[in-house]
Amino acid sequence: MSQNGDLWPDLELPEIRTPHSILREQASYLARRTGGILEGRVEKHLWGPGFDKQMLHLQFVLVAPVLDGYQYTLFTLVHDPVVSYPVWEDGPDGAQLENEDELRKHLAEVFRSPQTTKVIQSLVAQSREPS
Amino acid sequence: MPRNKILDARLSIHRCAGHRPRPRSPNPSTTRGFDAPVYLSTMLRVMFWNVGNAPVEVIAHVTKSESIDILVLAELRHGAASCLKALNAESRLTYHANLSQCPRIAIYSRLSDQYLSPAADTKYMTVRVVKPPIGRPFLLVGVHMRSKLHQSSESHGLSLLPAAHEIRAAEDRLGTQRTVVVGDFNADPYETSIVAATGFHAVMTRQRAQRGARTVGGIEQPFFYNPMWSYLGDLSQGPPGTYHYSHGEEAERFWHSFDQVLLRPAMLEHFREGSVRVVTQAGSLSLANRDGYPDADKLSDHFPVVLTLYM
Repeated sequence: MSQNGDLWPDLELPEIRTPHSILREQASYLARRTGGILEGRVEKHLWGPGFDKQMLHLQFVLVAPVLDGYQYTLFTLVHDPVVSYPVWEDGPDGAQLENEDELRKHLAEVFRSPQTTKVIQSLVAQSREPS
Repeated sequence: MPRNKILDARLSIHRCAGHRPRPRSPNPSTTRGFDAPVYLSTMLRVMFWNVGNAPVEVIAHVTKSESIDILVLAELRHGAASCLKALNAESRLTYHANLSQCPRIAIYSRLSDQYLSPAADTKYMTVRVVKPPIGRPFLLVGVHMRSKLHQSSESHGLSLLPAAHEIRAAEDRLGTQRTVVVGDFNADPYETSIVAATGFHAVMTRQRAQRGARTVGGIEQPFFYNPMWSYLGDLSQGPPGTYHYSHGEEAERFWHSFDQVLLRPAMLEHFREGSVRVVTQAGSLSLANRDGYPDADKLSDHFPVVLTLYM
C-alpha cells in the first residue's frame, strides 16, 4: 500500500482513439480534398429497443451545400456505447473491426471503393454545374 | 388552353365526370368522351413496386395502365435507357429518370428533376422534394429496407430505426412535415419497428395520426398514418397482402404487407378513402399466379401499391 492511501496500481492507459473521433477526423478531410465542395459530417445516435439494448450508431454523411444541402449517408458504424471496439459496419455483410488499425484499413477501403468514388464525383460535378 | 394541351401537362390533370375517382381504364384521356361533364382535378398517382423479375415492358404496361405520375421501383434490374424507352413507347406522356445515389430505389416520373429533386440518400432509402406545378410541395421517401433473411427479427427491427431517423432529420432540415413514404419495409404494419415511437411511429387510424405527435421518454415523436392496416386479410379491399411467403415455419403468416404507404398528418388532406390500392391486374394482364399470389416466377413476388393524392 502506498503511503498516501492510494490503492490504485499503475494504470496502463493506452491511447485508444474512439471510432467517433476517427470518423470526425476523416470527415474534416473531405472538405479539404474537394475544395470545399463537399463536407463530411458524423452523426451519433443511441438507438435500440429498450434501455439495455441500445447501441451507438455513427453515421458518416456526405453533404453537398450547393445542392440545397443534399446528404448522402455513406455508411453507419455500430458499437457498444461503453466499449469502443469491436465496431461493426451496419448491414447484412458488414465487417467486424476489432481495433483502431482494422477500422482505419476498412475506412481506406470504403473511401477508395468504386461506389464512393462514383458518389463523390457525381456530387462534385452537380455542385459545379451553373444553376 | 386547348383540351389536348391540358392533357399533355406534366402533372396529372385528369378529366373526370362528377366526383368519381379516376377511372381505372388504361388511359382515361383517350377512353372518355371529350364532351362528358368535366372538371379538372389535380391527382398525383404514385406507384411503388418491388419489381423482381418483371420485364421492363410489363413495368411500363402497369405504369401506363394505372396512369402513374411517379413510379418508385425496387430491385430494378433494367437500366435507365431501357426503362425510358419502354415507358415512353407509344405514349403521349413523357417519363423522366429522376436519378439519385440510392442504389436500391429507382424513380421514374412525369416530373423533370426541376420538380422532383433529391434531398438525401442512404443505401436503403431516398428522400425527394416534389414540387408539383400545381399543388404544394411535399417530401416523397422511397425505401427498400434490407431483407429479413439471414438476420434475427430483433436485428432486422433495429435496422429500420436509422431510416426513420433519417426521415425526421430531412424533415427538420427542410422545415416540413408534408411527407409521404412508400416502399418495401420488409416488415409488416404491426411489427414493432413500424409502430414504435423511435421507429416509423405509424399507426392504424387517421384519427390517432391526426393528433400529430406523441411524447415518449420526453421526446416528441410525430405520427405517420399507415393505411396498409386496412389491407390485411380476406376482408380487405384487394388481396390479403402484397407478398406471400411460406417456408413451413412454426408461426407462419403466409401473407404479408411489406409494401406500404405512410403519410404524415399534414398530408392527410390529400388522402381519401380508396386512395391506396394494391394492384393485381393491369388491363388483361394478371400479376397473380393461379393461387392468387404474386407471380414470382414470371413477374414479381410483390404486388404494386398505388397511392392517389388529391392535390
